[in-house]
Amino acid sequence: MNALITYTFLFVHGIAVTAAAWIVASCVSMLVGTVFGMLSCRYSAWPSLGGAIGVYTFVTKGIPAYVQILIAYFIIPSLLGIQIPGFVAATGALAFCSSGYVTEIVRAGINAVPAGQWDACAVLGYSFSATMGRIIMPQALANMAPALFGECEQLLKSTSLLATIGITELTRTGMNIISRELNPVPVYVAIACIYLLFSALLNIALRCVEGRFNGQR
Amino acid sequence: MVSVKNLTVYAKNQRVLDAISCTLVPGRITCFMGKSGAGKTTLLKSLVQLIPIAAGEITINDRTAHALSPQERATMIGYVFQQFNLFSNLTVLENCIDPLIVKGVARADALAKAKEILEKLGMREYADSYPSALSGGQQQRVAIARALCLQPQVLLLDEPTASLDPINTDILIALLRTLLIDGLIIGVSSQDMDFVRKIFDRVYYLESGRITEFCDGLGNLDNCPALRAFL
Repeated sequence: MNALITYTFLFVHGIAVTAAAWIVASCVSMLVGTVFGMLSCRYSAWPSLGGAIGVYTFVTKGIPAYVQILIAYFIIPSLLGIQIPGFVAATGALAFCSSGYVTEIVRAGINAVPAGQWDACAVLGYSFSATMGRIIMPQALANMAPALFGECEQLLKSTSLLATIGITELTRTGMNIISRELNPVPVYVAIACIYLLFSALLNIALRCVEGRFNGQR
Repeated sequence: MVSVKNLTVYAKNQRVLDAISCTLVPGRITCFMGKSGAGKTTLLKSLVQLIPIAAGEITINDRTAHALSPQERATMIGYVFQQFNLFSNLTVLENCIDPLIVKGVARADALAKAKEILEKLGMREYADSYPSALSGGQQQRVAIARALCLQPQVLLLDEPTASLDPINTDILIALLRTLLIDGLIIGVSSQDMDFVRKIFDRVYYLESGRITEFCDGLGNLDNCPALRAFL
């Protein structure tokens, strides 16, 4: 009974670490990706930034998330002569990696909005920010919602990579329990069910978002 | 009055408008006719600066168009696209009030103005519909309503009958004549011969980016051989 309570506490802690890494990395990734996607779209007010953002997405997408975590945890602190907590380094690396994909999704979503919508905003005297905020992004969101939620789901699964630098997130917690109890089946089933539960919540959120766009097309 | 002098426009290194000069006067419908690719749409788009001009001058009621801010220009010139380009994420009413809100008009005033104009155009009952639920004729009336909400002095319509049936074309003609009473300057590009015959007022005929004929009134058509042949 004591062991069950202890393991439940460990699992709750692991879930909390996973959820925290996932939420922080998702928020940073969405923020950076949305800004870069808007700046690099076809009708950007700053087209000269497109090249630099292209290099950014090439680098973030081209290096595996695992390697980025190792660089963020081992290389960058030694180069800068500072200490970076493992959670910060790994979560930052995941956000960096994911932001490249989000940039591409947002850019493609914006570019898929018909050119006529931009022209209509122009003749009606909309500023770039009004055009983006009131007309283009709400329509682009309908285009890119499935891909953005897919990226969030991918990010959730990538949080298991935090285990590689010793952070006791959900997967690492399970591995620790298995090493003590030597009974992997129920532990791995429990871990898989928890990830599935998170994914189910994401899918429900996606359905709600898509429901909001019904009738507009 | 809108005055265009020696307007020249290039697109992809091709001269699409070649030193065009014309006027649009209040209370009249000025129609730009010609075959596809003659430059009608380019001319209208260059009037609202959707296409940059290479040379020439556009003045609207004695103000140089290029000195106007986007907001000032939007308030002076209303533009109705061939494909209407209604905002698909907004309802009919929101399509009409949004430009007013962006302009800085209070929401209550914007709502009152939009409802008044939708009523005038017979679209009040569709206020809560999304554009995708409307027919082509209805979408066009909403597009006109959206343009009129900003109370422009000039209304430009690009190929307004391209996706309309004869009944909706007649409704549009009646609507344009109603708007003329308020002294609006109306400019229309069209290659619809029936439509132009019905509204014949001031007609410029364009060919390969140049104005080759101008006919003021149907009675003067004898002096415009190209236009007569086209009609």
